Amino acid sequence: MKKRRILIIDDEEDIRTVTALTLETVAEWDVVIAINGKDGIQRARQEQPDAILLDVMMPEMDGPTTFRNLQAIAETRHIPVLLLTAKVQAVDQQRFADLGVAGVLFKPFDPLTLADQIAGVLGWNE
Amino acid sequence: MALDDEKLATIQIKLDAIWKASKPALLERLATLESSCGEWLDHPENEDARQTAHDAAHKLAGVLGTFGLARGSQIASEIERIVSTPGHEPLPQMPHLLAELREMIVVKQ
Repeated sequence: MKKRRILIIDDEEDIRTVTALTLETVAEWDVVIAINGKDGIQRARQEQPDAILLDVMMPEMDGPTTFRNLQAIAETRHIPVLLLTAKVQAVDQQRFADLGVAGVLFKPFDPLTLADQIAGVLGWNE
Repeated sequence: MALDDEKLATIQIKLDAIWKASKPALLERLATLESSCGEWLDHPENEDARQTAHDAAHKLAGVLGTFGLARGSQIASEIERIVSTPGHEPLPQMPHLLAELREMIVVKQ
């Protein structure tokens, strides 16, 4: 079976490091890292990951804007995007769901179960 | 996904190392939160201080629980909620919440 590849777009170094650790160690997926939205779009075009884990609150280009840009590009619009957010208010959750992302995951996450959460949302366990 | 004891131990060792490496930056963010909250407590009309406190609290809320400090994320979320509304009056329990948060981060090895 082809090894999954996932792109993490997050401006927080500690979150990037923990996420990469858990996805590489627990799930044994290949991980590609981007440190902001612009970098993330470039990486998505180049690397063609199986999914993108996208932070919501980032400077300059936030997660929703990055998602809309990914959707506007032919080479990236097919890639499922999961938003990762610490915003838990219902109004924010509805706003994210309305964007058309594949799913929304919440910070703080449990490093031991994050890969299962991602796989569950994307149907990779089936 | 199956996690055997060896893999679990490896992850825990690496998480501990990431925590140690991240702690100075988290303490710096906490200091930003403390100073901006202090400024906002003194001057509730200071929108820059409120926004800075909001952003610092949001980032702490998102990361502390990942390192096992679930209560830390709860406190940071509570502070974020308090400072989320422009014009909202600072609440008297803010200094206590900040002190509890600092204690939690400093103590964790």
